[in-house]
Amino acid sequence: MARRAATRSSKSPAARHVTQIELELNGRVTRASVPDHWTLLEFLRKSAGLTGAKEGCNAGECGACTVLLDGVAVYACCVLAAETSGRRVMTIEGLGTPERLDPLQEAFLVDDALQCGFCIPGQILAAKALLDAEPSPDRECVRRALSGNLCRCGCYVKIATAVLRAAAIRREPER
Amino acid sequence: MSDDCAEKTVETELEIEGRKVKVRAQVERQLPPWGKTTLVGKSMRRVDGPDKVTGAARYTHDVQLSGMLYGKVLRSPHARARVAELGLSAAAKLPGVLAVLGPGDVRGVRLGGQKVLSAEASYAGEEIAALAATDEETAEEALSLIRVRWEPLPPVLEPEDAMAPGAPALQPGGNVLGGGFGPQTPGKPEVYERGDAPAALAAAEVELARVYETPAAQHTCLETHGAVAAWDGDGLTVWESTQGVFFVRAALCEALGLPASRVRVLCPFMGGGFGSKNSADRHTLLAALLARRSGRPVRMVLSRREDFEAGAYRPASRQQMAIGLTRRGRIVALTSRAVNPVGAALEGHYFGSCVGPVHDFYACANVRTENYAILTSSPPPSAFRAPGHVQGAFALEQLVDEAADELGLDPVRLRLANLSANDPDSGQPFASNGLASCLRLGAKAIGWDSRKPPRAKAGRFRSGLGVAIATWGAGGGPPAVAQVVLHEDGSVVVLTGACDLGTGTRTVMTQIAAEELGVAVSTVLVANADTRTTPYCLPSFGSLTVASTGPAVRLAAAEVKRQLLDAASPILEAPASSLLVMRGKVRHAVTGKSVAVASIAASLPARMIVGTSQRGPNPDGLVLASFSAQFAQVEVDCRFGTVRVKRFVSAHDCGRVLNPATWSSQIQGGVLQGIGYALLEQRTRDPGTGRQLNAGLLDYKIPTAPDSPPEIEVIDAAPPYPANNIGAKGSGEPPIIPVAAAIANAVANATGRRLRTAPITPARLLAALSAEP
Ligand code: FES
Ligand code: FES
Repeated sequence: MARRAATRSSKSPAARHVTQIELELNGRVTRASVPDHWTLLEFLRKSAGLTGAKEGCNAGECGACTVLLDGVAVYACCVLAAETSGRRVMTIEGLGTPERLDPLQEAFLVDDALQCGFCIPGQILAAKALLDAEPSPDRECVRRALSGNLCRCGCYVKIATAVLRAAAIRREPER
Repeated sequence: MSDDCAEKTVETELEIEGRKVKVRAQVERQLPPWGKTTLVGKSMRRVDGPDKVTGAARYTHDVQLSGMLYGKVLRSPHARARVAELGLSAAAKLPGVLAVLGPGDVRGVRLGGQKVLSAEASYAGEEIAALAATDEETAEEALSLIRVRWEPLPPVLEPEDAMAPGAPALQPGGNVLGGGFGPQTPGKPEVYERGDAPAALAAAEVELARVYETPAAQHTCLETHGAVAAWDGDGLTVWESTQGVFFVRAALCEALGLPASRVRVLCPFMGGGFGSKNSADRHTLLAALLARRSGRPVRMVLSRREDFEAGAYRPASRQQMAIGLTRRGRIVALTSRAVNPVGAALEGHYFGSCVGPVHDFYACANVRTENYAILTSSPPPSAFRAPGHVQGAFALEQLVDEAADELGLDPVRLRLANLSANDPDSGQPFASNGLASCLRLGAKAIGWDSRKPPRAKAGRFRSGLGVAIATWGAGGGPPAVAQVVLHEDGSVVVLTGACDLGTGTRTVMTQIAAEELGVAVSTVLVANADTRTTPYCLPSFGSLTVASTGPAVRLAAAEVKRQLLDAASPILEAPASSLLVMRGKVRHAVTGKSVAVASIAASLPARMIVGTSQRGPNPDGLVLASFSAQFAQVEVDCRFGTVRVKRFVSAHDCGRVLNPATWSSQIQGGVLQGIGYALLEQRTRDPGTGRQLNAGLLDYKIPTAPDSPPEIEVIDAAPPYPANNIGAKGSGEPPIIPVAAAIANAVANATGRRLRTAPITPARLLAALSAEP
């Protein structure tokens, strides 16, 4: 697995190193060649055409870029694309579609746990990682688990309500 | 326009961000108020929610065009400096760089009277040069190749330094200006006077004088400022993360000398504005200019650091206040002398007036305010959610509480006793006023009767209750045009220029149109914020979108309905006046005979019905304001000096609530921003260089989920509001106004100590706790 630090060429863009990666992206095996210094977020947004993960800071400070890497919520701006070879990445586009929403997406709509929506893909994926690991969290646990995802529109109360609702739906026996 | 009153126009008044302006309005067709509604007033799901929760929503940041270049800006590292020499050639020669601009290349381009690139920096972060390259790394590398010989000048960072005799003049008129909504006359404060405040103060039975200070606070939209510009011949298309596509278009047309017909500005989704995205900014112009020079589309998106360093903010304030009261608690005099450092603000910059609350909140015959704006070597501020009122309420609403303490009166009662039946400034009646109900219902919800004095409290954790109020001009008004189109299959498109900032504009406009037309919401699509296809309105600012555009949408839908019933009349062999539209069918009110809306539309020669209407005037002689009373319950940790907001109650009169779900989200969001302002947020700068020290989200702390109270109770305390055809006033700004004061008052109730400087940090709180009471 490529674990080189990001290097910046002092020459032209063409002279920069690229790495071949093969990862499972939203359930599909995906091959790409990416510049070594690209973050996962850059790969998703600039090359894979997946713009659901947002860039709010590019510094691991806001959570807008949250995706799941082998099921764990990570800041995609803090992971190098080259590191994801052989691994599983899920972005918001892989969770559900408007026709087939995931219970979390559905719950965010029911509880109106969104305003501008810019932070929401990250909030939902952070919540998914939480519920996958802890199916029955309480409100305090949800608040803590999502404390790395900023929402300037101030949806925190409703987001916690929506995550608890989704947890309850997910615990229901198969309908 | 198919309006009967098309020819008649009148002058009317509109209040934007606390400032009253006169506009002309077309007299509108009067619609009776809605009776029982089936869609309006219901918590309908957001129409754009599915796009937002699946990542399908495309924001300006997400726009990708073929051949798109990445634009970057060289900014001044100095708070005040001259560029003696600028070497751009090495950057221009770097392979992949397709356009470079320096101040000399954009001499004639003006944005609101200001240059877009400057060879004289008046703040750290000011734009000096710009370039565009095939990828971000190349653009950054090219920036590092630009050679600048700086002549640094001593910056003027603090208002005291700017006002000191012999201070370098930052602008020809000097550094001291009148405050108010924007910079006013040089040399003198903006003065407001009613009655004789100094005399009333001197004669008052009780007088208190206090000083309050508030920080520079930043909008911190999660989507940073940005634009993508693309030329097609001599036409320009710009995606901008903005609150107002028409203001962006006007700025571009003026700066570039283009006709409005050639400039298309779109904003399908945007990641937060809060007042910082009301028009085009320098990055917008630079994107357009670089795109023209390179012949390629250019994406110019600010980094988080740039968004902080060069971005907008709510100016800090120092407010010297005095209040005079009778022993029984009637307010007889109020004065304020306010100083606002406003950086490099020039005419046209707008930042709100922090003395507004002193004028507006209470019935008080004797008021005098003096307001200064002081120029410093810092970026210009801008409107930020209830500009001015947030700072002013922090001061006034604590002063009133301090007076209540002094007199031994209950703070809620003291407020109720001093509310004004009419607008205290103009003396004119309010169109509706639910402030007293806000206070009563909110007090009940928080359990105000259980409030104990500070002396009854001991131990490390101390709990307290606090209250504060707000009034805010939020009646909206013209100009706002809406168009409703009924297509041949019965589906409906609502066209409005209004941006949806996340407030639910698209959703409530859908509800209004569907309600008026009598069709299902699923048949209605709102297409908005595109200057080429949607009609004119003001930006989504000043809490005015619903109350401005909403009535226009209802009128346009009513016009479509009128034409629809006329067309149905021969088919149903009944006069149009006996017909109504229900669940997608035109129906005879008595016989029940019906015909589907779709088949009527399809039978028309035009195969469509179009209704266009515009917002009519506001009623003369009435003051249109929203009101709120907010209550905080805090727990102070006396060991660490931290404050937790345990419960929060936010009671509002915003007229009719069109969608309780989106409304309460907006209210809760305002409360959260208020909590940040009260406890966390302040821009800090290096006192030597003037550079921002906390230009990142770890250091400029906005509230996180654990900073939020677990619940924020939102109460609708509105009486009926007759001043427009949908019965709604604005609600965007009122929820932030009283928050910080309510929290500071709760901290005082918990500890017996007054924190007169925001934010209430642990250091300040511990210092106050260790001082003698
Ligand atoms: S963009 Fe990755 S944490 Fe902010
Ligand atoms: S919904 Fe706007 S930042 Fe969270």
